[in-house]
Amino acid sequence: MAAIELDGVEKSFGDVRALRGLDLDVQDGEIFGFLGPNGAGKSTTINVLLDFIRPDAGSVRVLGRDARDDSVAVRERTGVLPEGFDVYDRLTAREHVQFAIDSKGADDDPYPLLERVGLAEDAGRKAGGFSTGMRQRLALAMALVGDPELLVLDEPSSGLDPNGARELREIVEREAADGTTVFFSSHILGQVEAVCDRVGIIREGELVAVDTIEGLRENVGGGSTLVVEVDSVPEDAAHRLKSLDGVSEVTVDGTTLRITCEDDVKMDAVSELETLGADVSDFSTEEAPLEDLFAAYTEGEQ
Amino acid sequence: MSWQAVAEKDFRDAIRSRLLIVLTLLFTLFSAGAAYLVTEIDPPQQAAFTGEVTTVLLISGLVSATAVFIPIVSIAVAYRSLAGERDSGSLKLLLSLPNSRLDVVLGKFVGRSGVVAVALFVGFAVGIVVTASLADAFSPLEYVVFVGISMLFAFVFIAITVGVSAFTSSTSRAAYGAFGLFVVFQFLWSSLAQGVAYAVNGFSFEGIEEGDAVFELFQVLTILDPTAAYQQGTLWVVRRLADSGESTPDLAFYLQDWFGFIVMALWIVVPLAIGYTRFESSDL
Repeated sequence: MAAIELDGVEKSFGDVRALRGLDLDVQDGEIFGFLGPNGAGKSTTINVLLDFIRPDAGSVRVLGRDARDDSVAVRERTGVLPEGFDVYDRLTAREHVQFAIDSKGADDDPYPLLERVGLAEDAGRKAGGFSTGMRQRLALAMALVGDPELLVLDEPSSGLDPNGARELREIVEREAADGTTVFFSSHILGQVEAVCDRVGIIREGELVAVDTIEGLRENVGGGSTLVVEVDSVPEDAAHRLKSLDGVSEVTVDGTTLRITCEDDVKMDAVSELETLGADVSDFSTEEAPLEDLFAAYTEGEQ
Repeated sequence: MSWQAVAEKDFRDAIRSRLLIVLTLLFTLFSAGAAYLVTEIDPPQQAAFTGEVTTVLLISGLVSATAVFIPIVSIAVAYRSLAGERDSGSLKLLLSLPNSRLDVVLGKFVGRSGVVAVALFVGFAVGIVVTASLADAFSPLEYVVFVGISMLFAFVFIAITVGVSAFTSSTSRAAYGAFGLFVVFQFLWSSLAQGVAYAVNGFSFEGIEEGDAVFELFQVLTILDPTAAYQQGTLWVVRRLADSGESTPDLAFYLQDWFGFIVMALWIVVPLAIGYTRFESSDL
């Protein structure tokens, strides 16, 4: 069953078309990373899932229910870490979690939840004095109330230090191991790479790719770089290499050549260099950095 | 239904605000001071006539002052209730949880009503001590009934303000809106009612007499003002208790004094319904 199903979802704010017929399926139990640059429509999509905003067209189903008509039922089984939220300054951390417990009609105890997110010692403190990272942790504790079937995390690592981001990842992985579906958005690919089963990339309100990280890498293709160390770079080498089929870019730095090419022309490139009289002392392959991969999708250079 | 959870959260949150402490203190001073003023310095005319300041007369003197003070306290307590959460973003936290928007509006109304009830209770409790020690013939029952009706009036303005706060998307608009309505009810309503009567009568006041349709329309419009309804309702109950009531059995139901309570109930339900309808259909 699909945990999240969006079909042809449209949403405009004035003249701005935030979502342009978005289709998206997230399977039960998977960790799905929702990627895109700022302003691509990530938060709009999440707001539609939670019935914070209503789409102009299309259908939105979450956990098998209509996101608009059955929103309360959806949110009973969903834990949410919203983006751009604020806490209640005059309420303590424990009162926040208790409020989530009361709203969900759960029978959790606030303390273990606060312990899980590393706020055990601040349980009695008023949230008004919390840092951004602590507010984020508090909202996460509230999201975990009632052992939700689906976790929706909007830019969860904003405001977290590296340690906090690692802890967040561990919590997400543990929840997913229990069968919870996790849907989270980010504008930084590196954050989703380690945890996600699949990623979807959104650009200008449309989904431009959905795949595993490996799948995306293969799909973009020509993504690997051959690094060759020579005694001296022959004149005209860059030009000659570029004329080979499958080589897209050559840069020379001292006695090091970086050749961006398809996998099956690597050996041709090396023998071409030797033909030109260069003595190859070492060569290695670098995979395309994920950020380049991301840029390839989001900047439309496929 | 999780409106109870919202109400409890909201009460805990709002009761800790400094503004509320200030308002409670102000109201306490007001309540004690007004009791003193009415009994010692400027007793109502009947008191001069009979030579006695009774609770009924005291309340008659107080009600026109509470009619101004209570709305101001209620607006201050409630104008941020929804618009403030929208502004700050805590509304996202609130609606991420399985609270429907109806739960939110009702919970806010109940929570803020609880807060204003605490403030009024403290103020009136002090007032009752002052009154008891100053009035010549003190009747606790009449005073308690007066407090009860004043609470109801406070809930009316909480409902109006929560409704406005749900309707608008910014705190400042909620404040202007609620305060603007207060000014209309307090100062402009009777002129508006007169204006309507004037217009209906063919843009003239000529020939309007007690008992004819235009005059009745004017009277109905007058009592539809929540502030007038409060004053009328209070006097009706207190007079009945004191058993000095001039009964008016011949008038139509909407001109009876008790109709003030129906008007107050309407002013709780209608603003909440309008605010909710708009809030329910809007994007956050």
